[in-house]
Amino acid sequence: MAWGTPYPRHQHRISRLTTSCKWRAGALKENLVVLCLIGVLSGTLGCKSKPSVQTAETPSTPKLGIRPEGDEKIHPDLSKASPELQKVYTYIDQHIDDHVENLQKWIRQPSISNSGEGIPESAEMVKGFFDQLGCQQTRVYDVGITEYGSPGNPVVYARCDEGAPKTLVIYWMYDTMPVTQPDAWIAPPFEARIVDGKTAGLDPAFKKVLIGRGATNSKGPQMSQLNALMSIKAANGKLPVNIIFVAEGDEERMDIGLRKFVKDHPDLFKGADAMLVFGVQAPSGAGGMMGGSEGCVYVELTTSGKTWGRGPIQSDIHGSNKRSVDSPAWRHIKMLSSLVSDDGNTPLIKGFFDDMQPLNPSETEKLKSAASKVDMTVAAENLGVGRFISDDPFTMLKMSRYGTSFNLDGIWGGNMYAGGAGAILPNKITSKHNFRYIPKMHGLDMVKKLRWQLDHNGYKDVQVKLIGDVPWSKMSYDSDIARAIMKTYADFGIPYATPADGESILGGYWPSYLFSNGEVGQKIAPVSMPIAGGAAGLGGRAHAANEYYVIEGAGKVYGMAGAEKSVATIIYNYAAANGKAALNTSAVQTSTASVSK
Amino acid sequence: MHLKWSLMLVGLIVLAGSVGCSKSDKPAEQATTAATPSLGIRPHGDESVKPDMSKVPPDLKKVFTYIDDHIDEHVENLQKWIRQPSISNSGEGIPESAEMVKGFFDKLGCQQTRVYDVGITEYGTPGNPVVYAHCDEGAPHTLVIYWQYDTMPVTQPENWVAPPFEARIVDGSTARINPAFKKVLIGRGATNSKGPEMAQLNAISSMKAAMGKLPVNLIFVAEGDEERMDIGLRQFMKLHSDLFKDGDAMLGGGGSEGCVYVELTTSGTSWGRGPTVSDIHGVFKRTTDSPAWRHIQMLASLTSKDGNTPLIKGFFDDFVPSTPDQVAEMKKSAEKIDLKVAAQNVGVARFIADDPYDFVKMGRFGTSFNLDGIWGGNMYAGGAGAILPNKITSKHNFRYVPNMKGLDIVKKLRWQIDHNGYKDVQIKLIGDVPWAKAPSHDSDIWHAGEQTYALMGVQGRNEFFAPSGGYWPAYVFTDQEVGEKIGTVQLPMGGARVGMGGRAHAANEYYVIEGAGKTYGMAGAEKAIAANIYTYAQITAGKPKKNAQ
Repeated sequence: MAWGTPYPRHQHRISRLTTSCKWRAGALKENLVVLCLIGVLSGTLGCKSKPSVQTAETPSTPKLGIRPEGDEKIHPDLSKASPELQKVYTYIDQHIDDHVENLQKWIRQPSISNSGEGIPESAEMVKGFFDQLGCQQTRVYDVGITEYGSPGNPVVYARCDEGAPKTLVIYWMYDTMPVTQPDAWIAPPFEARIVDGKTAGLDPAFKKVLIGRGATNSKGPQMSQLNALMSIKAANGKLPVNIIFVAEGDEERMDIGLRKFVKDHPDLFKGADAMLVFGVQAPSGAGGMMGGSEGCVYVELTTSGKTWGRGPIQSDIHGSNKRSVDSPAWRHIKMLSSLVSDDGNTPLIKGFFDDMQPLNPSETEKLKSAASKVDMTVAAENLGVGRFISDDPFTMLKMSRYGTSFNLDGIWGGNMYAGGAGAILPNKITSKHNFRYIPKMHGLDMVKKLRWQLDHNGYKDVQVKLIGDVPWSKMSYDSDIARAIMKTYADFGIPYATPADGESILGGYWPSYLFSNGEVGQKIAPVSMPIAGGAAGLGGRAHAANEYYVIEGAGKVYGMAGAEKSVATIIYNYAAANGKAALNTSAVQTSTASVSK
Repeated sequence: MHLKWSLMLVGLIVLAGSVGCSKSDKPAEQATTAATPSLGIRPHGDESVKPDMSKVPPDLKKVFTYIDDHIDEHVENLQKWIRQPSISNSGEGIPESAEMVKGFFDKLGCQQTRVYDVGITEYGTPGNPVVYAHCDEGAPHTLVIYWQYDTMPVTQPENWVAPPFEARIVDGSTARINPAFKKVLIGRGATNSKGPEMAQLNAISSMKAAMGKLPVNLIFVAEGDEERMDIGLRQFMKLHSDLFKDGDAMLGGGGSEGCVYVELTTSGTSWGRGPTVSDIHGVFKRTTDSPAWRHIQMLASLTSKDGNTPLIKGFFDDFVPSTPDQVAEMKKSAEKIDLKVAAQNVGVARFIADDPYDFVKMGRFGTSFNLDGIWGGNMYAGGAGAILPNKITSKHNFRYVPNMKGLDIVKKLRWQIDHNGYKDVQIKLIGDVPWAKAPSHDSDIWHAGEQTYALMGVQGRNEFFAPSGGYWPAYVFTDQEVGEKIGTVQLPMGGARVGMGGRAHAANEYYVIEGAGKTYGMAGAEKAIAANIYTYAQITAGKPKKNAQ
C-alpha cells in the first residue's frame, strides 16, 4: 500500500515529502496533513440559524463573506454522500463565516509552550470547546513534574458518549511554537488576519488565507475538526461515533506532559477503537496519510565559566577583559565545531549510525517512484530554502523520509542587541539541538554517545541537558480508520498515494508511540490502537514566519469548508466500516498527472 | 564606558535637587523629609584614610562640610539618575536621558546648554544626541568635562541581587563584595558611569553653594553612544570642534586602547543554501543545509582552539612592542598583584595567564578578538520547538594597540573569511575607536591630580592603560599621538580618581556609598573632585590660557 506520507506529521513538524506519490515536489513543503472533520465551532450560533446568512445581525463586525467553495475545481461527489452527510455539508456552507471566526478567536489566544505564555488560559479554552460540543466528561489534568524534572503542561481530556458502537480518539495539541522573528511577519502573528494569497507570498489563486501562529500547526486543522463535529450534531442531532479527545500542551516541548499523562492514565483510553489525527493536503493538492513517526531527542548544551573553571563565573563581564580572560563563548564554538563535519551535515559522534535499519526494498521502490515526480526547484521554493543538500531527487526524498539529523535549533548568550556595541565577555552560552532518528536507534542512547564524544573531545565541563525524547513508531495503514480517510480522498477527488506495505515510520514526528499498535522505540503504557491522519485543506510554514491556513480553496486545494466536510465524511465512513471494506483500490487515483504545482 | 572610567572617580558636587544652596547646613536633618526616610549616609563611613585637613584651604573646607551635610541628597540624586534607563544598545530612555542631563547643567547655572541632534553617522546609523554645556564663571581658565549618559543594557536580569534600575542600597556582603562596606549602591550605570559622574556634579554644585562661584569655567560634553563606539560623539566632534576653543584642559581621562566592533551574519539568503525567507521547521535539517552550523564552523576557523589567538593573517603586523621602560614598570606593578584576588574582583575563575607579569602585559598591551554575543533560532531555555534558523549573528570586538588600525583589522578579517571559504558571510562595521597614547605627566591638570592624591592621602596611579584594559574616546580630545585624529581639539588631561565602583557591563554593577579602610565613599569622591578643581585653579592662577601659549 503505500501511500506515502507525504506529510509530515502532524502538524507541525514536518512535512515530509512524499513518498510515493505522485505529487511532485510541492508536496514537500510542509504540510502536514491531517485531518478530520467535524463539527462546528464554538460559537453560539450553532444550530438555529437559518441558511441565508446575510442578514446584518452582527452590528459591529462586518461579515467575513467567506465563499465556502472558493475557487475550487474539485468537489465532493455528492452521489456518494448520504442524506445525513449532505445536511452536514449544507450546514457547514451556511456557517462558514462563524467557523472561520472560531479559528481566529483561538489563534488570538497565544499558547506558547516554550515560554509558558497563555498555556493555562488555553487549556481552559479547549475544555470549553469540548463542553460546548456536549461531551459528558471534560477535564483539565495537571500532570505534575515529568521524568525530565520539568513540570508538564496540562492535558485536556474529554469523553463524549453518543451511544454509538465505536469510539474514536482525537489527538490535539493546543500549544504552538513561539514567534522567533516577529519582523518577518506580514501581519501580527496573533491577529489572525485574512489576506490574499499574493500578500501571503503564496499562489495568488488563493483569495483568502489566514496568517497566524498556529494557523496550520495546529489550530486551523483542529478547528476544522471541531467545526465539523459541531455541524454534525447541529444537522443530525448526534455523532455517529463516540469521541475521546486528548489535547496536550507540550507538543513543542517533546510531549513531556502527555507522556506522563498516558503513563498515569491508560485507563482513560479503554474502549477506544482507533485514533484520528488532523492533517492537510500538500500544496499540490495531494492527500496524505500519517500515523507513524520518526524519533526525536532534544538537548541543550551549555558551556559556562563556572563549570569550566576558566573565564567569567558569576555573570557576563566587560568585554575588554578578553585580553586576559578565557572565553566560554569561544569554547562553545570550538566544542560545537568539533561535533559536526565542515558542511554541518554529518554528526561526528562515534557510533551515531550504529543501530540504523536500512530502508526496505518496498519503501525504496516507493521513494524512487516518488522521486521521478519531484521538481527540486519547486520543492525548495515551497519550503523557503535556497536549495537542498542533495541535488538528486531520490537522495533528497530518502534523507527527508528516512534520514537522521543533528540540528542547531538556536543559540544565545552575551550581547544580543543588533547594531549595539556594548562589550561583553559572556559567562555562558547555550545552544539547542534536536536529533532526528529512525529505527532502531534510541534517543537516550544517542545522548550517551554525544556525552562520550564531548568528553573525548576534551569538553567534560560542557553540560548536556535532556529536554525530552520522542521514540519512533511504526504504523500500518491496513485499518478501518485509514480506509475511511482514503475513501474520503477518493470521493473528494483528492489524489493520494497508497501507503507503504506493512508498518512504517513514514509520516512525520508526533507522539505516535504513546498510542500506536505497531512497533515502537519505547512503549510507555498499555494503550494501543490503529492510527491514521489526513484531511482536505492546506496550511503551511509551520515553525516559520507567516504560518498560514487556506480559508478559500482554489484549484485542487480545498479551503476550510472543504476541510470540515472531509472530516465529517471520514467520521461517517469510519462509523459505517465493518472491518472488511477493502480498499477500493481502483478509486485511488494514483495517476498523477493530476498533481501539479 | 569602560573599565577605565569606572575605576575612576572624581569628585565634585551637588545634586540636582532643589535643595542645593538654600538649605541650611545643619547636620541633623532627619525630620524634614516627611515621606521618604532619610538615607542616613555616614559621609566618612568606616574609612581609615582621610584628607590632610591642615593642607585644606578655608574655602575648600567649607565645600567639604557642605558635602558632608548634604550627602543623603547627593546619593538620592544618583538614585534618581539610575532609575532613568538610558540604554544606547536598545535606544531605551535615550531622549529622556539627554533632556535630564541638560537639566542638570541648567540647574548648575550654565549659560549655554543644548541637546545636539547629530544626525546620521558615517557608519550609516543615526547617532544619539550629544548634550553640551558651557558654564562661564568669569574665571581665567576652562576645564572640559566628558560624560557618557548611556549605559550598557542588562543582559542577565536573573543574576542581579536587586532590580537593575531600582538603585537599591545594600551592604557589602549582600552585594558580594567586601563586607567592610556597609552601604553600596547596586544598579545599571552605578560605576559606568552615573556614580562617578554624579559625584562630579554633586562636587561642582557644592562648590557653587559654598563658595558662591567656581574657580574655573566649565565645558560639559555628554554623549549617548559610549556603548555604541561613540559614533554620535565622533560626528559631533567632527562638526563642532569650535565649541571647545576655550578649553584649557580636560578633567579626568587618560590614554586609550583601540577598539573596533563588528557583527558577523551567516544567512541562507546570502549563502544560497538553507532557509532563505525565515526560520523553518527543524525537521528539515535532514535535507537542508544549516546557516547556523556554517556560522559555527566559520567562527571556529577564525580562532585558536583555546579561543585566545585570532587566526587572521597579518593581525599582529603593526603591533609595537613595549619599550624597556614600560616593561620595567609593568614588572613593578606585577609584583603587587595577587592574581587570586584580582580574579575574584573581576568575577572570573582565573586568568589566561598564571604569571602576574603576563597578566599585566596582556591587560595593557594585549589585543583580543572577543565573541561578545551570539543569537538566532529558538532561544527559549527549556523549550524544544524545532527550528532550522535562516540566520545567525554574532558580535565581536577587537581590542588593539599602537600602531594597529581598526579598519585595517576589519579588512584582514574580510580577507581571512573569504580565504576560509565564507565569502557569503556578512560583516557589519558598528564603529571604530582608535587608540590614544597616555597623557603627558607634565601638565597643570596632571599636577593638580597628583596634589589632590596627596591631599586625600591616596596613592596615585600612573598608567598607560587601565590595568584590565578599557577604551574611551580619548582620540577626539587628547593632545597626544592617536591612531586617527578627528576634529581639532587637543587637550592635556588628568585628575585624581577617588572612590570605588565595579562590575561595569556585568550583573550587580555597584558604586560604594560609604567607604571603608583605604577606599573612600561617595562623599570622599566628591571632595577629591572639588580639591582637584580648586588645585587646578590655584596652579594656573596668573598663567596664560592654553590657546595663548
